[in-house]
Amino acid sequence: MRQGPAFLVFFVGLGAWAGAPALAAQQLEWGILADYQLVGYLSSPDGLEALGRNQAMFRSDAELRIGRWGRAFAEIEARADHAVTDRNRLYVREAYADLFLGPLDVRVGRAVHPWGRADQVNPTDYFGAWDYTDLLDAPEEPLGQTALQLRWYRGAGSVEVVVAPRFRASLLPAAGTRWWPDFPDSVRVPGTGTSPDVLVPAEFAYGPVSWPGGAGRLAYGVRISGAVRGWDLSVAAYEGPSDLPAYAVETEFDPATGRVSARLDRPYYRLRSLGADFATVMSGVGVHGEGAWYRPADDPRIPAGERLDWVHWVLGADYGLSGAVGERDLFVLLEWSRMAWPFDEYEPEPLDLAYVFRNALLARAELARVGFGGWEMESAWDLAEGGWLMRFARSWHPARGLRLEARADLLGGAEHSLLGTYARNRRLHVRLTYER
Amino acid sequence: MPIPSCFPRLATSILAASALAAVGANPPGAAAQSGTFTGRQVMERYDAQQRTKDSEVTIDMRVVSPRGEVRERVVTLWTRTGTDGTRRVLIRFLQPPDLEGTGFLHVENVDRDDDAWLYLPALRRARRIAGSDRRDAFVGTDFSYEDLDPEDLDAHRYTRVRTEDHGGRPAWVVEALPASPQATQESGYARRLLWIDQERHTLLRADLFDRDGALRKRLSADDIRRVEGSDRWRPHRLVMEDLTAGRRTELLMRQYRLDQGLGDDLFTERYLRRGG
Repeated sequence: MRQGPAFLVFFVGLGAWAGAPALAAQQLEWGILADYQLVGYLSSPDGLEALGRNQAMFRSDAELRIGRWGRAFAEIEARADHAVTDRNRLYVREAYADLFLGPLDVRVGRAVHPWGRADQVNPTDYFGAWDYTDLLDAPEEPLGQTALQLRWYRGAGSVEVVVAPRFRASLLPAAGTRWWPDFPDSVRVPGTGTSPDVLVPAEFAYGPVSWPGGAGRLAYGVRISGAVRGWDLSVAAYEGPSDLPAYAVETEFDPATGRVSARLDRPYYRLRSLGADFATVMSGVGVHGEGAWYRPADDPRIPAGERLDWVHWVLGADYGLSGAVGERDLFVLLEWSRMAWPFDEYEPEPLDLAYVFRNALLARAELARVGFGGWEMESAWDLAEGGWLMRFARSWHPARGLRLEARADLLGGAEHSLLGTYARNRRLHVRLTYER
Repeated sequence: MPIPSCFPRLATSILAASALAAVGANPPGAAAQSGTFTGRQVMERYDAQQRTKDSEVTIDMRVVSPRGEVRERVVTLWTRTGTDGTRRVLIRFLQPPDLEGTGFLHVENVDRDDDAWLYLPALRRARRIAGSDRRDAFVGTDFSYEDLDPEDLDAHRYTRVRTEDHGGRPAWVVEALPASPQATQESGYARRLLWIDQERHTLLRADLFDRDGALRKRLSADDIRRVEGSDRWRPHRLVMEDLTAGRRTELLMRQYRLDQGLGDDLFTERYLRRGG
């Protein structure tokens, strides 16, 4: 995640450009965000002595508008995690240039391209990649793709094409951190003949990341959107790599030591997908849906010669009761995420994040007073495996630009569920943010 | 960030709504006849002068609570009225930081419910949202959407009750009452008293009475100046006092631009994302 000097050159160039007196039509705006988080865990499992994961973060962004025909935007982030140094980074979140050419908008550079109209889970968010090094912080950490985006508009409709030559996958938790799962310290080795199965000491380790051959990391997609008599509709198509790997465990028995080495390979595979989404309002209630059909290629979980497609859809409803942005904004949302998944026999590995939402209910409620703070509650219920997540937050704005937040992140459930696996990471969280 | 479902009503922009004060120059000789105007005629002049094809204004908002807490917002607002009379509104929040970049788009329809979208920069997504009640507060201020609506002349009965000097300006005082059961039901006010400048036809003051007949809010419009490059007059400062709650909202208008020839394409998701 550490960036080379190219992005610094971009920033310097941006500033120099803004300062050029000859280009008086330019308009430069910039902002900063400084953030400090105190994270206290409620338990300390073996091998993880630290009960806290305090973190400092600084972000700065700059936007340069050049008349009505273009702009450039960049945002950098410096993050220092006192407990998990792997999370330290100097990172360019986004850096792109826009050209507005009549009905055509062109964007080149690193940017987030969010697709889909669902709120919590987006099956058609093909170019979405996330920083999962701390799962609970992931929603705030989208990773941009370096891509070319063309968006052509006609009335309320648009056609969008995104091409990313080197697709960037999501970042996964590092070994030895709290989000590295507890693998068993032994594995069962099948007996031979009349001899019974035996439990053999095992050590798990990451194997190499591998990318599919051929087009490799090239990703491209098209999305057609429009609004028809109160309905927002989109269809999308994608071909490219998966953003999460298909975990595959390779085991090897060493007779000399009597131990098994279990290697967790992370092969990414290519996907083809067709998706669609909609959103409308019925009797004051927002209703939305989003679904996609996936056809994987090179997925190591699929036996050679077989083709196993799957479908993932999300249906949701939301309701707002408020004085609009400001006084008492109440927003509630409920979504159901379901995958029609062909591999019933497949047991996802603990890091296989894609399957949390095989059959899940997600809820969110917010009551906010903009400028003063508010309350938030989020929950996710993994109906397939029995895991759950509850998050409660209270925030205050003690001064202009200053935000103080206290949060409790609770998770648990069945031990074999992903969320249950990480029940040890229940935590209390205090966060102070200054933004201007 | 929560979804401000009441946004839709914004349709009736602040601009047209600053309405409550927007007016143009008086036709020659009108003042001489002004003593004979009925309440309806006064309001027709007010209404005729306030309407523009399109407008743009940046507004500084200050909301002061009874305890003296101050909340500030800055928005830029674009409006356009189509040939069929329907309105489109695009709003961009510039401040505070936790709202910066938030956008709201409202498109009025003749034959069906209005369309409204909210753009949340943190999600980088535009979301279709539901409509709101005219009586809801506008973005957390003491203005309701109704306060910001253009005057609906057919929905009210107007009576000129007196003339008086207001802040050194000759003014008609007009009483406005809902004209139908539907208008009564939709409005948060049983009665309004409106002070209309006799020369500029701008609103100078409004006393707003709730359904129990009690004086609930008072609007004051001042710093009324001619908009640069236009023959229109606009208030550059509006203060709404909630006399019951003890709160106050001050709107400072800057950078008015009227009738620039804004196209319908500005009022689309493209510009909702882009920010005008």
